[in-house]
Amino acid sequence: MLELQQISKTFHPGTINEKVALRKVSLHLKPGDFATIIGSNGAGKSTLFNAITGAFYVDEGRVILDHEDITYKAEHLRSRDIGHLFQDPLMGTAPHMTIEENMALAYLRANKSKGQLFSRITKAEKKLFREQLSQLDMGLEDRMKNPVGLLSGGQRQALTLLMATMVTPKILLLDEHTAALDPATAQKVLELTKKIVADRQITCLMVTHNMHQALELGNRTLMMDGGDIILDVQGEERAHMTVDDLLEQFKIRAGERLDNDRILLSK
Amino acid sequence: MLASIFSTSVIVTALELGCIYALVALALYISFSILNIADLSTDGCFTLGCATGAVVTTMGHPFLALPAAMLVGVLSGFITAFLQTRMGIQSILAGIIVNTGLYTINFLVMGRSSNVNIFGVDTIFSLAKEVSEAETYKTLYKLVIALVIVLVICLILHWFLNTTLGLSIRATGDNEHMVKASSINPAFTITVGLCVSGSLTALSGAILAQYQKSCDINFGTGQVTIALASLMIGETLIRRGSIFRRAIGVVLGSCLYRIIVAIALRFNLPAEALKLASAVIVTVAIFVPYFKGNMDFYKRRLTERGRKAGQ
Repeated sequence: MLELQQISKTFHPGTINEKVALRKVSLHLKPGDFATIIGSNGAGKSTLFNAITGAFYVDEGRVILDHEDITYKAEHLRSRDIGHLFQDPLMGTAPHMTIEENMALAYLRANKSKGQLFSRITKAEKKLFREQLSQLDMGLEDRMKNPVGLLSGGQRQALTLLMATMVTPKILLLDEHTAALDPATAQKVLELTKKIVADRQITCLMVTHNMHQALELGNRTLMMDGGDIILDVQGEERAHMTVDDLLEQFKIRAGERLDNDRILLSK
Repeated sequence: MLASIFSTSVIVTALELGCIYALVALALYISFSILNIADLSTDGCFTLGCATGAVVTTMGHPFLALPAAMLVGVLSGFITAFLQTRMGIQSILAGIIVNTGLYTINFLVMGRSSNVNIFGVDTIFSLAKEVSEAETYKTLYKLVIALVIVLVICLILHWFLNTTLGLSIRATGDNEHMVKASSINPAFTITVGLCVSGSLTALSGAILAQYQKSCDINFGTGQVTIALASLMIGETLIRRGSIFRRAIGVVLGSCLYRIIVAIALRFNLPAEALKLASAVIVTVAIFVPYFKGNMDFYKRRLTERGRKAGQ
């Protein structure tokens, strides 16, 4: 589904702030793959996601999504096929617009044709939004005319998840999307994520700082360090892995101890 | 006392101007409040609409003058948007650049002259005057025209900002990131927004040209501050609700501003003092909510200092 061929990215090349963020990273995800990613601070996890969404263009290599080479495709055009959630629950929604209006914008991705500029939110769409919201079990379906800014962080993140998957994306990128939520809400959003991803067989990449999660969720675990993927386990090997094995592997491969406060604290 | 200040004609004139200038405030509602862009091309764009409107009117086409002005306003907005979305120029600078350039353009539009007078030809106001001979009509016809135009614009805005495109434009100012994630190009929505904003500013200029039967190269000076003052007053009057309600709030704000100005003039405030007054109004309107937000902190700090001083 997703294929990264030797992608590299250097920020501020030729200056004192030069930072190699991705070093010839290659990755192949099969349709329905759900891979978790762990790694030190500054390992290139978020940069990897941004290379996929097109927030910047890679310096070398190719990005291929569902057999289409999107290396030079603009960000807003790629977003048709890509769902992206951030740690910050405020990033994915427009606070001064209503829940309904936010969902209508997300639903735009369903309209492949351009002639919809002057259409309005239809009754059928409202009904669809209401049904989708009721899945969340947060009572949001009765607050569709409320501005999103009034919702809690957890509610906003759940809404963002719904919006990102309303039109099934070819790939869903989750960048520690539950990390900023309180434990109970985080659990709820995570359960919802699992359900949606499983129900619709969405190919998914998820950054997490929770080592247990990294091994339990999905079918594949990736470890990043210094702008490269240093470990890629799946199947039998992954099934038998423990958190300590994972830390041990990191030490062997990266040649240093894992440097990520939150990972170590949540271990 | 009040009656002498509020003579009918003074109030009617203030409301007429309020409605006409409300279009500029509505333009800023789109660029400043919705898109979150400080578009400083307003002054030049207003004069551009004024000049175009005046010239087309003197050619004998008072009705054509309005869409013609709107069209050049769209062009002006497009160029401002192009500079900031495609050429990497900061939005404030883009507006200033366009504003400066427009001075020359406006001069050329008016036939290398710094003013145009409209005489001996019809305007929308002179045509409307002929409709009835009734006394009340003669007092109110200008207001009626201005009011109808501004209400129609409010309705159109309400419709437009609730279409898919309108929602995208609103989201661009609210969370540009989310717009990109919804497969919309923010460069496109900013461009459309500024074009609409420019067309309203220019329309206001064209109507003013016909209303005052003249156009001067300096008509636009300070327009952006005055419109901002109106917008701030309007947003204080009506804080939430549908787009239509908010738009009406902006119109009320503009009318209230003109009434304040009319009162000030009655108290023999010199006309040149008005620009300073507008500047003060905008400053106060932005400062007061900021100050209120920090009030608790100031209070605490003050008591703390008092406590320390007392020791």
